[in-house]
Amino acid sequence: MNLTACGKTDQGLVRANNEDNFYLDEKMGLLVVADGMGGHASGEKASGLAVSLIRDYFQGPQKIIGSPDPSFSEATNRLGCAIRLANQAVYEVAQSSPQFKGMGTTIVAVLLTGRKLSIAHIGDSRAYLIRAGSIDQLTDDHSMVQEQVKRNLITQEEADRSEMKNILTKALGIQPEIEADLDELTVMDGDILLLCTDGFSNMVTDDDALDMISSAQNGSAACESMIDAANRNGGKDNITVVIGYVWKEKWYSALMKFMEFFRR
Amino acid sequence: MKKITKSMISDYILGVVLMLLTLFFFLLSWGPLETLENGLYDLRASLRVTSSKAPVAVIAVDEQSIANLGRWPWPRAHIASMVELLQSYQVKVIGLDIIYSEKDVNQGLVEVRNLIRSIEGEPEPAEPQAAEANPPASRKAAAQSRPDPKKQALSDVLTALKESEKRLDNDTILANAISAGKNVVLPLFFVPGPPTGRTASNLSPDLLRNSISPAGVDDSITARAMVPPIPEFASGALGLGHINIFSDADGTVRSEPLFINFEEKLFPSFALQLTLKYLNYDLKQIRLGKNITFGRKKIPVYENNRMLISFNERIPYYSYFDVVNKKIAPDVFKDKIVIIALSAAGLGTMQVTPVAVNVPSGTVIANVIDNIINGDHITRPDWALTLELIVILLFGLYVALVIPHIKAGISAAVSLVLLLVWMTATIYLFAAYGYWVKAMYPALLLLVGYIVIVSKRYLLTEKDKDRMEADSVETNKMLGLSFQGQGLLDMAFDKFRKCPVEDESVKDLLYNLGLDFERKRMFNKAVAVYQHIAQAGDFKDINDRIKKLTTAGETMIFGLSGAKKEATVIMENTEVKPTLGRYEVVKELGRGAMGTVFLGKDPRINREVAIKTLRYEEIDAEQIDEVKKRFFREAEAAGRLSHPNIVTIYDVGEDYDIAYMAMELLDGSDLAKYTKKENLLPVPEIVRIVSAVASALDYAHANGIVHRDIKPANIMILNNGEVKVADFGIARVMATSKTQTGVVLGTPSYMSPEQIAGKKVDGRSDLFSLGVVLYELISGEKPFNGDSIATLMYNITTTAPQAIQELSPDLPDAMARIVEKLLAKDVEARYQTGKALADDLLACLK
Repeated sequence: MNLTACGKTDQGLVRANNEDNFYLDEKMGLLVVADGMGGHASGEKASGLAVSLIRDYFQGPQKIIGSPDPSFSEATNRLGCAIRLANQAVYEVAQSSPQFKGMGTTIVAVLLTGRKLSIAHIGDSRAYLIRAGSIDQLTDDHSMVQEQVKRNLITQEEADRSEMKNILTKALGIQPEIEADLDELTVMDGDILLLCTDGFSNMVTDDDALDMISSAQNGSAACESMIDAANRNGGKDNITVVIGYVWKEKWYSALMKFMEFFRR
Repeated sequence: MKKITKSMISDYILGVVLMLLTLFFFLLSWGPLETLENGLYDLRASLRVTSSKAPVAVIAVDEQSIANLGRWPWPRAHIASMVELLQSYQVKVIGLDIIYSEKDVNQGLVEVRNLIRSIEGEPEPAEPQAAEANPPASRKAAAQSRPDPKKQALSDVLTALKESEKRLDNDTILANAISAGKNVVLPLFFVPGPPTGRTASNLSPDLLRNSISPAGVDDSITARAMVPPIPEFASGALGLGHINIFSDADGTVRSEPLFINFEEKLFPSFALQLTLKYLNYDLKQIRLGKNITFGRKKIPVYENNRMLISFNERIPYYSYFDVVNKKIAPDVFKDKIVIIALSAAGLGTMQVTPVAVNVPSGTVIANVIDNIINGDHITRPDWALTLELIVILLFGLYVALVIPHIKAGISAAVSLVLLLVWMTATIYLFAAYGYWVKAMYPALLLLVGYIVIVSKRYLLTEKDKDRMEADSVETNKMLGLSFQGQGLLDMAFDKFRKCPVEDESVKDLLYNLGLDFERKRMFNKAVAVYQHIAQAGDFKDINDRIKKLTTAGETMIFGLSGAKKEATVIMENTEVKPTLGRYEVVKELGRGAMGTVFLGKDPRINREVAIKTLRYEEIDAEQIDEVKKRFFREAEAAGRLSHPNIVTIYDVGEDYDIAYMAMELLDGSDLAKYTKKENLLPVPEIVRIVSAVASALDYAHANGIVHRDIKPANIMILNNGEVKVADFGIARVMATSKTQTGVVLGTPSYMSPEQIAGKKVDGRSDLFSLGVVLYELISGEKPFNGDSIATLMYNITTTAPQAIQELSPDLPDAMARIVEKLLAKDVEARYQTGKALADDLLACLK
């Protein structure tokens, strides 16, 4: 399976700076989105550090450090390991100076290897799968309200209005050690992956996102329209969306390329 | 229960393989291991040695005898006289351990015999021979043919010759001596080898008399040739026995083959024969089998009809010379078995026994006799094999199943104890009962198994350690690179420093970091990096760079440090204390919920105050103004509160972009330490404190201020006993100022259900929180618990707390009712005002 991806991030309308970060690697099949937090510029630092560490890890020898979880594939373990390292890096930087104290970041990352999709996340940035005209959330937010909803303390509507919507129960870089939530999935030709921060998911409903993605001409147009939509609805936080198209190389694709070459 | 790991499974397999290997060698009796076992046998045998009590004596043809009686072989007449002497001493049985397998070759005797034959057979031709003695006379006599005197002379000569023949005929002398007493046992010697295939074809009657037919299948040692004594001796002897001694593979004699199979006839050993004769038994009375029995004697034998010899010491031993010269009293030999044997160097074969070296074969024979007569045997009992197998199995299971599960130290101790118990048991059985149990194989299994398993484990942990080290190196490299990419060069250096600098790739990383430092004009740092690389030898151009940078950097470093020093000096001289507003900041007291707390001083009225500052770091830039506004509003509201149980706020202000709040400096501690089980307060004191807080809350609520963060840490007990509630409204400032993406919340143990649900809260929420504090002060436990924030929240909103009287049975019912009412989930069911609570509490005391 191959992956074509594009992503876009926007400061939003309220915030003074953009603390979101993302990274795409189509060849590797890697998509990462991070939403930093902390005072001044430290949120930006945290998300940037986490994303760059995950990038560096996958550009390096990708050695699995520590003991792997046997219930997941090697690729998924690598993803988990990269996030562990990112956590360590962010945590150590946060401890190193008062300027960075308390900084942290959410992270959501997917890795496509063959037909297997590895998903890892910490915090409330989300991954969605769009397949056959429907959209499914692949990740469970690590947030207080999500926990409350899960335990039926409050309804989803109450949760959306909650004062504590922003309180996370888990974040990268807050503790010296953390394990990401890992998951695996078998993808099919034509699947679309959507990774976004809460700046998007809080502003736009899932169904609207689905409509925008399916009606868009291409990835970048979809990203564009999604960010516009979020800003139209208030743009209270930084907005980041990453869309990944999963497709299978057809046997005649080489021929098509050849033809295209002549058409030019 | 420990988890069973992969390495343990391989330990099981290893243990079982070792056990099977041991069993295999054990059943195979593999040579090298048998040698080890023999060593152990000898060790144990030496513990068994006692002094001999059997009626046996050895007369040794030793160096002394040879020195005095002439070179060996002595004339057989010598031996005959000894035999006769011993017979006169009334010795019961004489064992003559000297083989006379040929007739005595005596030149003189041959000559004499020839003479006799010639005189007797042919008198005429014999004449000249006879005349040789006195030639002229006899020639004349023969010529004259005078029969009478001639015959007379001839007969005299013949007689004399016969006399000398008799004297010279040692064989006959000895044969006579042997047959005279009928108590001499003579030796047979066998050449061991595969059986000839013949069956007793031409054995003489004497040999037949001294052998028995095997009963059933016989596994005695076979011989291919026999060296018997000459028939003259054999016919007169009381018995014949073989004197073959077979040593084990290591050259030590441990057993005696009681029978040798020659041409399907079993010949008893010399010692057995002597014993039989001594005890007046006949060879034919012997019954073969697992034990060789005769009369009441029972000799345990194992393979090849061999008997294990238990070697004893102090077998009476006399020099031949001394006996011949009658230096030894005859009583010594009376009614005993006396063995005449060679022991001089170069004559007899010397044997090695488990307890001694250079043992003459006579002593070995004497030992066998001693064993048989005293019934003192070393045996391999029937159960020995079973026991050995069981112990091998047990030890094998121990090695396979137990050692992998216990610590190396403990397993060493247990193994040692097992080994000692096993060795002691086998030694005891051997020394006390003569039971030979092969100790070697189980002991070896235990030792080798322990060493193999433990060393394997050691190697594995080493490998694990190596892997973890490799892991951490890899982690450090990754993190270092990442930090470097983010421009956090110092942290990157920290990480790289933890990697082995000898590694070329690490050197490369460090080198690049050094270049980065240079680019940032942090020359001293760059030098530090290059010097770190230089520890592991030269690399690229680092030496040049170090040289260049130190000269370039020195001035800078100097400048920097100089400036710093000067700055400090100025501060000290002028003694300017930093100020916040009109307050001098004396020192930092700690960090609170919203920011740092300082000890301040109001210089005008010389009053010490606590100054709380608002931390801006956690607040987004665009929200700072709003937060500050709220801070001042809350502080203003709280500042209006004037109640003996509320911390007084003197002043708020802003200076150097820091918002601060000056308040009453409290000398005391908060309630947090009284919630521990070990220092709970008495109930009246708790009532006093809580009712004070309740009245403070009542006052604040009446003024429209909700505390929102009632918890033990916010309730102060001053040293004079006063109760003060701190931080009114601050929680609200901080909670609503959180950034859109908030930080992870602390444990909300004191939150009310409506707070958790995110609803609007009023004073009754504070009373719920106070209820949690009261519950904790009384019982030392929180009413709501949960292993995660989510569970805790769930418990606060839905589950009822454990009844407090279960935790503190002495608590009055009235108090329990108050606690219950405070912790009601329904707002309406709680106390509606702090005053109502305070009244109820105080009523309890009455």
